[in-house]
Amino acid sequence: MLTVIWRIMRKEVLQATRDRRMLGIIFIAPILQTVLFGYAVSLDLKHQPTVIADLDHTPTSRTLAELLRHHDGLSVVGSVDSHRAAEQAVLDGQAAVALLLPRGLEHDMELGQAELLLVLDGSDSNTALRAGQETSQILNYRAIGLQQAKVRELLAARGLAADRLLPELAIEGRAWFNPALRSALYFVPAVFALVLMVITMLLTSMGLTREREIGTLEQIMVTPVRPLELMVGKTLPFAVLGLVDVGVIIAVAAVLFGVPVHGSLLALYFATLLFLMTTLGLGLFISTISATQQQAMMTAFFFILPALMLSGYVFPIANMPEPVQWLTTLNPLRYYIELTRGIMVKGATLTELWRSVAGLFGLGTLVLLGAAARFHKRVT
Amino acid sequence: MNLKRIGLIAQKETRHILRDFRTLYLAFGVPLVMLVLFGYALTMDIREIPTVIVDQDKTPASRDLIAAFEHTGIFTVVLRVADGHAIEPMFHTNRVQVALVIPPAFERALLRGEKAQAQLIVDGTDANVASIALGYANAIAQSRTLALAVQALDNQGLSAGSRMRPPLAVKARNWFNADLKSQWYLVPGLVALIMAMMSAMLMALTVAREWERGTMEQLLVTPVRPVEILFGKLIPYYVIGLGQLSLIVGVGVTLFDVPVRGSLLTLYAMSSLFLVGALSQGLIISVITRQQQLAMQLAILSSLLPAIILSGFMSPIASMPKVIQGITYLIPARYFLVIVRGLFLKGTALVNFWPQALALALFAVVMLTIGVRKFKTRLD
Repeated sequence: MLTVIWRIMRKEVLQATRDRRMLGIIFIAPILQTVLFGYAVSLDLKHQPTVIADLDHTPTSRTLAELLRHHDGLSVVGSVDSHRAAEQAVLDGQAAVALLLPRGLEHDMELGQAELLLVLDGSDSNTALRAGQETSQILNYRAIGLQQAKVRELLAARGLAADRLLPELAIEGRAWFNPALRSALYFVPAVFALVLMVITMLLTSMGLTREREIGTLEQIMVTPVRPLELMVGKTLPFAVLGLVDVGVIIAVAAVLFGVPVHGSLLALYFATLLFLMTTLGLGLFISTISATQQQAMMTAFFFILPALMLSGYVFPIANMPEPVQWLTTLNPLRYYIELTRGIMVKGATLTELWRSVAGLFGLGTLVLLGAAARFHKRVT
Repeated sequence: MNLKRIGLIAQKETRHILRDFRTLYLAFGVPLVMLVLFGYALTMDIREIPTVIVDQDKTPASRDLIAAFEHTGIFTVVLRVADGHAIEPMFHTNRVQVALVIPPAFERALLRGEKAQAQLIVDGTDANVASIALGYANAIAQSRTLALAVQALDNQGLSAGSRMRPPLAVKARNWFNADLKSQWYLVPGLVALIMAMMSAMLMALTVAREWERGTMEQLLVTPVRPVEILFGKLIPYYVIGLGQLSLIVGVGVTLFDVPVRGSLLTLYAMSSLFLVGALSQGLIISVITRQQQLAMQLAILSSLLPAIILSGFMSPIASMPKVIQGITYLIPARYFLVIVRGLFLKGTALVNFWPQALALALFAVVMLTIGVRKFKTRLD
């Protein structure tokens, strides 16, 4: 049996590597994806084009405008002298943020009733939300600082010692595992899942369907090769490739982004093996229900896209409606991403993450056995 | 070029598509599922961050601070523990994402008018959530300090104290999407995403399939010329692309009230340019690879990934490093996304986005020309 499996694997590997481009792309794809997700995907607010219309022309208004100039999230692209011009800049798409400092701002702040307006380009709602929150936090922070200074003056004028009277409440913030709050640490561990799904699920399903499409499946079936041998021989090479790709991603992530593996490498590979059970199982299953490679690809995508959206990859699971949250417990991707993030970034152990391990193992067994049974029936 | 022969090839291709009912079905099923997910299940809003409280002070002051955190609606207290050692394992298992630690003698420090320091420890894995949580902590510290100052002044019998309000109200007005509904942001993005993905991927397989099956040779011995084959293959997929556009627009408008403020005609015209480019891109891939598995991988790397990551759909282009920003100029989805968002949400007229329209036209012409050339030389 082993020799038969070995021969099929050899055939499969030969076939795949006969086209050198295939081999190339299997290694280039993970590198490219790691680089893209590491560098290009960032939910931080950075350099949002901003215009400022300061109609107050007072030290206070200039201080507030200056604050925005020094904020990393915004980049002031222009100062205009009317509110209309500032609004026009947002309308034309030249600015995503417009700060309108009205006449009499300083005076109103003395009275504690100043109001200023931010105009945001809501067509990118997520960025608008962030920009609005951050900008108003910065401005409020300074305004409250000015207010406190005034209170101190007031107390000093009455001969009272401000330091004894005015307590200060401070909250020291600390981000564990990622002190610099880099998005790469969040997104790179999820690249594993993406790459593995394409390599194992898409390629196996298309590979098996291909045999049917060009009619070579019948030829194999008349040989003494048994379905189990065919199945293992066809999927194992892709599983090995997937594991190699995991190594490539770990290396690229460490070298380019300084994303280390804090936990155990062995645990990461174990989690990957569990995940491969589901992807290979699904790949097999799809091949049994598809007549053409195009069909197999579309069916696989019909699974991959929702699985990706509901994995907590970008959209937090905790924010989804309750029934959808239940649905995500059937999503192998969710467990795998929990595991890779936990092991790589936080140094969590498999025992701590036993729920995800159990979920992945349960799904994997179910899918793989079901698909194998179906494949067996289809081929015999 | 003979229109009749193009028509015949198109007819043949259409029959292929219609016979493979599932692929057609999925070509519309995938966008539909994505629409429903985007519409009902996915949001990037951060709320209810699971929080653990470590209150070592247990005084009115510490309880006030905890209440201030709960009051934001951002933090949900899921657990209270006595000491801070248990925090890290809780981060590992994703039980909590934030820990608020209030040290002993917190209230005493405040009563003495000293600096009382609490600590907010966040799980930095999700940098986005972490930075939002830290921002809120800062704001809370500020406003609590001010409130304490007011109280202190009142205690001193200084009437000025009670007039001390936060001096500045920052009002944000979000244009084009006043309530910052994420559906309004995601649906136009989905138009670009689905078109880039489906057209390149489906198209990439069609010609490769003919090579794999050996039917291309059969086509070539007929009097049909290569250019005619090419156009005949493009037309049915172009129709599918417009169908997908209509589906997304229709569902978006009826179910999610996404406005179409610009001209529908312009939307279809611009989408046509993008479609022709993307389809031709798929065709080039198909001609170069002649192998479906390889073609699919190349299509994912060259069309799907850039459309998601580098177009500004997932994260704003302004947030990317300069080098990557330079690369985005080569991604047609970038221009298309600006146009689609403009037409849906802003009601932008064609004159205002002619540079983007020009880029799309260029993309279509270049891809089509290369496609025709490659196709011819490959066949000769």
